[in-house]
This record gives sequence, structure tokens and C-alpha cells, in this order.
Amino acid sequence: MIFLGGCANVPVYEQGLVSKVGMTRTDSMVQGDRVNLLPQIEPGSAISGGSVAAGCSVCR
Amino acid sequence: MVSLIALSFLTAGFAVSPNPLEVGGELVDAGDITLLQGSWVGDFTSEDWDSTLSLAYGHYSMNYVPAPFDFRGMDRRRNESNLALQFNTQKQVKNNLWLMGGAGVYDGFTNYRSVWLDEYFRQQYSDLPGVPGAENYVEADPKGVNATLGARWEYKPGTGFAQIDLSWLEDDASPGYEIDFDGLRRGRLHLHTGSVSISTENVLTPRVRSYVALRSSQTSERSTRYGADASLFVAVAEDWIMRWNAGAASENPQFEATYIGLALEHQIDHSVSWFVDGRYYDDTGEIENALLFTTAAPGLASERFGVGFRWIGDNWSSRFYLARLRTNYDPLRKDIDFFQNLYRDRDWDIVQVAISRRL
Repeated sequence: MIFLGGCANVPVYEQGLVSKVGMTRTDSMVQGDRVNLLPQIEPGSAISGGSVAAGCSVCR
Repeated sequence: MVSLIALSFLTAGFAVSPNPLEVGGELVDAGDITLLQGSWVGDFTSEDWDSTLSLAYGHYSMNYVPAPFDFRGMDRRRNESNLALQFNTQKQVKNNLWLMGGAGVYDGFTNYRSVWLDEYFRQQYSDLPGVPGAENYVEADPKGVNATLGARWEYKPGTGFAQIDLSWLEDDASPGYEIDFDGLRRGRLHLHTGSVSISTENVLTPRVRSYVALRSSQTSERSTRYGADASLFVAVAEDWIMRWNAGAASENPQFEATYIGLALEHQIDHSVSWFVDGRYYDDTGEIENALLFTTAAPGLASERFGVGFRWIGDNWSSRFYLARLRTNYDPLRKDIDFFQNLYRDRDWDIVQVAISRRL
């Protein structure tokens, strides 16, 4: 529930810190911190599939 | 995987990037295996539409080394590349509602493991005169397309967002093979994947922002894979940021994966910051039900530690990141011994460089 912010009501003028670079989720390589090639090594990190084209089609 | 990476441009973002043009490069190297990816992302905004066009190039090179007892195998240097193009757009249709859509294509192997396995299958099965089913072997030609539709709802002005994405992927995969007394059999060449993602992002306090995503995906002839990912961004001081990330994935009958990561970032001045991060990942190994042996990876645990800096200027910005990733596989089973050089423990060096320009 804490993640849903059901009781949160933070006015825009108090959002300076949470709007800084590094405090927002983004796909930008400059502003974010994701390693794009990582799901190749850690298959459970992929957002979907996993072995869609991982050569594991023989397994199913 | 490139289709998944490209797809993530849609599913992870709540807004179009404020940087109209970004170029990035990523290198992941273990000595015998080198992965390289370069990307270009451009944002285009009109009065009604915010759109993103991205182009990614990947290159994999590796020293293929068969198992010592593989009498048909031989050492070989293998190089493969891929190209992916993705277009995403969104339009605000009401004061608090956005609709999104996107489509993408890719051509080429999408990960280093499929290249390794393709080389194994080529050496084992491309020349089997007189063996039943020998004609089932085909040269791999992986490629795919994807499309996504979504909606984002700002349910609490400025502080609460919810998003849903529906995705569809079609992959011509690098197939797997099995051989037994009935001959050579080939796995599916064409895979369909449908997925649903629901996510929410909230400003909880003047110092805390949260993100939670739940996903499910269904790929041909497999059970549904469920995934969850959560992040917490905490401004622990005016110039210190702490980022938590944790997630899990599950697929019947036996795949389970979990990960957790922490990053600390210190802002030196208004434009320069440095950061350190660490992450731990663990899974139970991939699903397998092969007859004699399997290509499925055994259980994996990995740790990553990295350091980097970020510079945000008025027009130009950049980021540099160095990390070491250590992978530790569970002991190999007999039925996977042929892939002992693919699934061996490695130390991976990671280098990321990115530059963006605000036009």
C-alpha cells in the first residue's frame, strides 16, 4: 500500500527533490541506471518472455 | 531480446524523455564473450503527439568451445549482429489521460546464448546424411515484430499515475533441436507472445517516489510468466539519493527468479553527481523437459557492483558507468554437460557511455 500512495497529497511546489535527475524512473541512458544487456545474462530480469529467442524452444 | 529491450521503451516510461536526442553505448565483456550495443533515441514533439524513434545495433562475438567429449564439435570464432527499430507515440486525450501506441522490428540474433546454441546445433545437426529428420535442420534467421497499445491515467494530479500496456510480439526464433532413435526433431520456428503490464508511480512524500509494475506474458507452448518490479527513490538529503529496486519472476513448472539492488548517488554540485550501486540476482534455472539433454540454463546467482558519474548541463548531458558482474551457475547436470562452456561462471566487465543533447 505504501507504494500506491493512497494517502499522499504532495503539492507540486514540494516536489523539487523527487523531480531531480536520479529520482525518476526513465528509459534514458543518461538519466536512468538500467543495463540494457543484462537480461541476456539474467533471464529473470527480462520484462517478459525469457527464452523467447534464447535457443530454449527445444525445452518446451 | 532486442524486441523486449525495444518494447521496454514503452512499458517502463511514464513520460517522453525530456532529452530530444540521445546516443548511448554499452559493452559487456567476459574475455571469451563480448556483447556490444549502441543506440540512438530521438524525441519528436508536436502540438498533439509526443513520439520517440529509437534505433539499436547489437554485436556479439565469442569463442565457441565445445565440451571436451564432444567429438563432433570444434572451436570457432563466431560474430553476429542485430538491428532493431522502434517507434512509440502518445497523445493526451483528456486532462488526465494519455493513450499510447508503438511498433518495432528487429533482425538478427537477440542474445549471445542463442548464438552459442545455434553454433552447437549447426556443428551437430547440419550434416546428418541418412538420419531420419535430417531435413528438419534449417539455418537460423531470427527476426521479429512487436506492437503495443497503452493508456496512462493521472489519478492524482502531479502525484499518482497508473498505466496499462498490452503488447504483442512475433518472433522467428533460432530453433532448438533434439535427436533420438526416431531421428532429428526441431523446435518451433515461430513464437507468439502476448503480455499485459500494469504499473503505478506515486510521489509519496516530498522526498520519496515509488514505482510498481506487475506483468504477465504468454509465449507459444509455455506457461504464463508473471513478473513484478518495484522501485523506491528516496532523497535522503538535499544532495544524496538512494534508489532501491527489487523484482521477481515466476513461470510454471519450476522457474523462479528474484533480484534486489541499491544505488547511492551524491550530487557534487548542480550539474555533476557520482554514484555507486550493487545488485544481487538469483534464479532456479530455466524450464526443461527435453528427452536426452537440454539447453536450459542451470540455476544462476550473480552479483554486480558498479560506480559512475553523471553530468547534466543546460544543453548537453552525459553518463559514464563501470561495473563488474560475477555469475555463478549451479553445478551442471549430466544432461547439460554439452554446454559446460556456455554455462560456466564468468566475471563480466560492464561499460556504459551515454550522451544526450537538448535541441
